[in-house]
Amino acid sequence: MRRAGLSLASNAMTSADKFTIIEGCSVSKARTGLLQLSHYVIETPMFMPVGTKGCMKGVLPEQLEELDVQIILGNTYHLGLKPGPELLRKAGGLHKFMNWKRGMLTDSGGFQMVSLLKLTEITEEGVQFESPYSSSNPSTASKGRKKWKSSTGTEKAPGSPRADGEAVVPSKDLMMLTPEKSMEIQNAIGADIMMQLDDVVSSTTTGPRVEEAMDRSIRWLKRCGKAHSRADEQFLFPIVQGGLNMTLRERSVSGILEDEYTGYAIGGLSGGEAKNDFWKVVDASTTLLPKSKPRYVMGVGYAEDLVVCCALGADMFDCVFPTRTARFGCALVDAGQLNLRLKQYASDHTPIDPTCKCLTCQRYTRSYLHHIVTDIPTAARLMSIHNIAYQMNLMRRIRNSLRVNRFPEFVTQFMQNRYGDKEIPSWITDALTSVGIVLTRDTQAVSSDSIDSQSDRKKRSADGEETGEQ
Amino acid sequence: MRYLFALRSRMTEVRQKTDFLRKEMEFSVNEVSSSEFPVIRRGVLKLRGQSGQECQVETPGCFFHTHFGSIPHLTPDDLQYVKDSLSCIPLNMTLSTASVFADALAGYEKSVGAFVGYPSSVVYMSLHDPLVPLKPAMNEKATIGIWNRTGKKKLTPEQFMDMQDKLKPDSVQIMCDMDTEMEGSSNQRLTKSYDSSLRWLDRCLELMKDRSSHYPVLATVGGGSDPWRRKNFCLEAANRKVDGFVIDGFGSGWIAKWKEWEVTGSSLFGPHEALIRESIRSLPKDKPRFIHAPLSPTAVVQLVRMGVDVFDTSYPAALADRGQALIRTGDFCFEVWTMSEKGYFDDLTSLSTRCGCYTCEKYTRAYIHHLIACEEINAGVLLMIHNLNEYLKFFRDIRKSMDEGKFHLWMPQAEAGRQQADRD
Repeated sequence: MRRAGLSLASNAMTSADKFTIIEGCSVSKARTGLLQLSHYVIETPMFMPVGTKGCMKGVLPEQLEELDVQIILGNTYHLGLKPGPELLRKAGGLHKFMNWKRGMLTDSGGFQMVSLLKLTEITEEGVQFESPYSSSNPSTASKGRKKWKSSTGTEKAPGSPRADGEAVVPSKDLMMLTPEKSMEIQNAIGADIMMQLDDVVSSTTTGPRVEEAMDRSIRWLKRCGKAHSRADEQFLFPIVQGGLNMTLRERSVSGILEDEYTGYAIGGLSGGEAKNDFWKVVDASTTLLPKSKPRYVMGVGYAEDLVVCCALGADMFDCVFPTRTARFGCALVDAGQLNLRLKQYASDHTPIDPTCKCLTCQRYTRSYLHHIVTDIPTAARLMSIHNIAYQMNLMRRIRNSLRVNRFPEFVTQFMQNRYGDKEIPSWITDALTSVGIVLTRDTQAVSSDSIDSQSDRKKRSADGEETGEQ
Repeated sequence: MRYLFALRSRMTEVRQKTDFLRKEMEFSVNEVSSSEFPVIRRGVLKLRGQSGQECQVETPGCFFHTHFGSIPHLTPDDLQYVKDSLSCIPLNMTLSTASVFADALAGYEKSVGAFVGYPSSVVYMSLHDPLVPLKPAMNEKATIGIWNRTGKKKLTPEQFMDMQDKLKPDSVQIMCDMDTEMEGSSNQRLTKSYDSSLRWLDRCLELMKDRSSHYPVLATVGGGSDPWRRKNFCLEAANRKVDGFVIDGFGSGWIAKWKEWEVTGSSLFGPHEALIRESIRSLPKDKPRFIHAPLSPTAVVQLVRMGVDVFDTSYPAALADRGQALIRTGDFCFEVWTMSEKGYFDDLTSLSTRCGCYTCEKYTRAYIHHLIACEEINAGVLLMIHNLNEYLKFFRDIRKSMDEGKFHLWMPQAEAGRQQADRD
């Protein structure tokens, strides 16, 4: 039944439908599809590594392509300050500036303002914040990091005023990020997907502020839509807000659905809320959102979260975690993380993951990485390459299992690999049970071998369809 | 040796090829000298790794400088963007940084080159990283000190050879005491340095004979600021079974001094120039002479002229570390650009219009400026790729000009380049 509905949806595809669902899970809400963007067609479910300031830290664009990264994320807040929309426009957009040919998504800039800056005031007009630069001279920034923190304004960057004759903006300059301004910067960056400016509150906030933020986000969405000047090349994604309150989430979705968009984001999560609340909000939101459109859960990057969210019907994810933890010496594997700084790896001559095909695992041992990690830039690069490869492999395994309708088996095996003899956290079993994937606690009886042979049988019965790699 | 030199005051050509007992390092060099032009040495250094891989370094040429075994800023796949990279990479590791993983190599089956990510490479193990300032007073009577992040490590010749046996490089710079000051080192200190270095050299050679481990070895010719000791050390070292020489022993901080002299416009190497000449004059012609330092093209031309064969790529790395680009502005002219300068903020032209490397082809000055402003490590990556290409092309061009008999063209230009640097 479900499948029939899905194929109907794809039959009824119009030119406006950029998202095609290839296959849906017959048990859970998971699905795999293709999203047609201006620069690239991305396969979903997809993880988007974060390249905050116009580059992926330590990884060259060609290396990202090699790793099968199809879409990356840039931060509007950072890019708006450095190098600034003017230069980005002149350079022909961020794609050209940074030599990236595939998909790109930019956030609205609102989140960073709330998370990075103090003295932020949010009004109906927009988000008001103090400029982090003591002068608005972008080229003094390398020395500027410490100065940002001094809000006294006594320090001025050397060499001001700017060479181009522009007046020095007083250091106590208050800046306002409005929906219009966010769109202007995002239009200059030129990403394939832009996020609306939303009124962000911490996911643990309760009370009337959550409702105010939700309502304001919908009003700002409309203003974003009006200000958006490149609607044919860049898709604007609304963000579902409403905290952990299901009624507010419902109202948020119905407000957003007054207009049609290419895809939808689920925001206000991954901010320290209980996992039990987290999955319920994702679950409720994906149920409320149209099936035929991609759903992007913001700020999700842990492997188990990705697998669960896919089961709940989410399609796109982003998180700084895999690349950030890489730079601190942690390598991602199915069983969790390896902290390569630990002494136990000093003479370990195996690769991080013997099954991984990335440059790092093909060329290096844990031992060498142990000796260089956090010490030299090359180590940060090698670790980032592996962790991005891990995320990409995980998403590929999810997609492939969906294509041969073996997603529940994949989830079962994945959780077993990840938790082994340890108990699987109850939020995971609850979330998966809610969509029909029951992780039996007697998984010990089902050894990984038997799952393999079981999936082999399924693979054979899937008459020659592309096989998923387990 | 001096007699040989006297014979070569006229334009002569001598072809020498030496087969060593150990076949791992071979050097053939063609030396031309005349009264009009200084010595021109053009050669090929062949190194063979333990697993049979062979690497040819055309001289004057470079080994790839590494830090903790890695070419700074790069991952091995980046070498596809470096035009000159050979199928087999000549890596210059330094004992001071490689020592941190010497113990870990005990259970490792492949070569140390493979361990650091370059399975197709030959590894030459020198003593100190030219980009890490030497800590003075590290050496004692029986030991040299090497310094890495785990602290000071003292090595006797036995321990030194033990460590080499763990790392198993394809050639080795023998330990020496080169920590004498240019000025102010007492006679006593110089004598101690001289004696220790020679004693250690003999002891290491003896140890190698006793053990089954054989490495082509380079002796470091020191002698500090004393020309007599320098000459004698060279003559003594030349009498030993060594495969080549490293010219060093100018005391700590000598590179900084060269920079000073370069800027003040006096002779590039100041008082070192005579000492380098004195060292080289006493060395056998058929063996390669190495020098380890971040050397600008101007300095390289001068040293090539004096008869140095092998350099390393620490200069492009040092520039990349500082956010600087080596830019060729003419056939014989180079400039160093500091990419954080404001003027590059909105300069959307490629880094160097003459280069055409990956960085120059795909990115702009403004982008590199942006990366530096954001303190992104990718800035170092892109600059390193460009600087390496520029530096290696410079060496290719030097060799080409030698082959075409036009090396002299580099000299007046080099002088002019120096004055240019002076003005800047």
